Amino acid sequence: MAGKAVEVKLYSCDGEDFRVPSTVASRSETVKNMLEDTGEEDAVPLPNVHGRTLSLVLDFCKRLVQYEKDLQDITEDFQHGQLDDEFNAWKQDFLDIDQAVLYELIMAANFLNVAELLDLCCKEVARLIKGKSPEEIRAYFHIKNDFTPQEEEEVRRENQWAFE
Amino acid sequence: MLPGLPEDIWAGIFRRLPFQDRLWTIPLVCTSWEAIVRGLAWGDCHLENSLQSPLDYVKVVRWFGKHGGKIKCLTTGQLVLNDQDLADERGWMFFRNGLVAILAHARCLEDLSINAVSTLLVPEESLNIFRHLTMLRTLRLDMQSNGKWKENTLQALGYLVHLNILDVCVRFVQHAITPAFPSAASGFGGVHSPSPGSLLKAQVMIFDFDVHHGNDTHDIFYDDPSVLFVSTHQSGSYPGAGCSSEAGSGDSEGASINLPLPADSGDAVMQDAFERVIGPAAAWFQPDMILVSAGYDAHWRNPLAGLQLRT
Repeated sequence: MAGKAVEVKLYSCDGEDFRVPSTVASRSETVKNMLEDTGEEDAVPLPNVHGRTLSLVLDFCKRLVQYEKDLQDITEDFQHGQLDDEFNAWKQDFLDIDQAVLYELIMAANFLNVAELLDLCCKEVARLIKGKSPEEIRAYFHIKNDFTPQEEEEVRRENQWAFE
Repeated sequence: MLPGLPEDIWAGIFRRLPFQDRLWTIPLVCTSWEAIVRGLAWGDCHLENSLQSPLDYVKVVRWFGKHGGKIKCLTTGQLVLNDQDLADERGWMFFRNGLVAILAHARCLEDLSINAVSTLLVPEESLNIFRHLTMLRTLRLDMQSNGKWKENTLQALGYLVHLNILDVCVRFVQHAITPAFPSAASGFGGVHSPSPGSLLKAQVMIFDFDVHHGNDTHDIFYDDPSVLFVSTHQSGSYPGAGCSSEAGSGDSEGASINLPLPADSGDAVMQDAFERVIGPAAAWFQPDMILVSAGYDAHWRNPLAGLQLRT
């Protein structure tokens, strides 16, 4: 079915269109299923995803496809680590975005069902949370403490042995 | 913005958090996070990144003292010690003791995965570690194929043969195998108790069926008569070792069997190898356990090699 050179057209909700190889677009399970339903030439409308977010998602898919292709081509063991390092460095740059964009990216990765991207983003949020106190987390994410003092005391008591 | 993420995504994020953040910090942030954490299946517990300092151990072991009986599935993950002072033998002993204490509380464990197992298992004690885990059905062990591995872990495995574990998966972490197709996990079911005579060491058959010669494993056991090593591989492929004339040395002569197969061999040749060599060898050797080093790169859909085996 999908030949390497085949391009597909993706439309974001704000009418921007993206032409990408079907190998890249198919990293999204959602798009892949749509393509299988409708045939190759059709343009795929993505009413839930904004253009600037879709562009990020496609950047990630392109880099992922590239990484996997590079893996196939290597001949020496040590190159594997090198490729991993390069991809990880790229991911770090990629994730240098503010909270609002990260939110959009997670929602898009979830809707488009790009497992690797969703995993990457969830790990990033986990990294932001890790090691912080409840107060620091609330301040960081602008979350309101909606416990009543009694409730908070109860949750704390359940865990108290852990806090020494 | 981020707090507005759907609950199932938050649940996925919390699952990726170290044990102590997930347990002790998240529930205190707000009521909805508390509810999400409460709803997470505690039957499935990852220690990944959780055990990095002595205090972590104390906390986690205490937590297991209280809730460990509910845990059904436990993954230790990669063990990383942040504390530089502990990044030596003492650190590993510390981890080992912590794990032993955790396992002593996790009595309903059905599924256990342990990384870096070779540094953890002291052969004489391994039976005690696992003996009380009467519900344990699946055990996955990752181990390095270095010198320590042979002495420690294989002996420990010899003890495990006595336990009524239905499915033991062993993954050999090898370095000489092409990275795109790492030597993968393999299962063997229905492990039976061996004769009392082999209490200290089981007879083990290792069968490696991927395209490449299992040269590390081969070298480790080349002069060990208690291990029958059988490898089928594509003739002439990386690393170019494993001639049929290499059959073991000294007492172990005959306990290494190398079957380099020509390219385009396919199922018929493999079938022949099973019927005429591998089967009879196993019948002769009478192994207590068979470990399969199962690389799938001999499959016909792998464009990089040519053994052309079908599923």
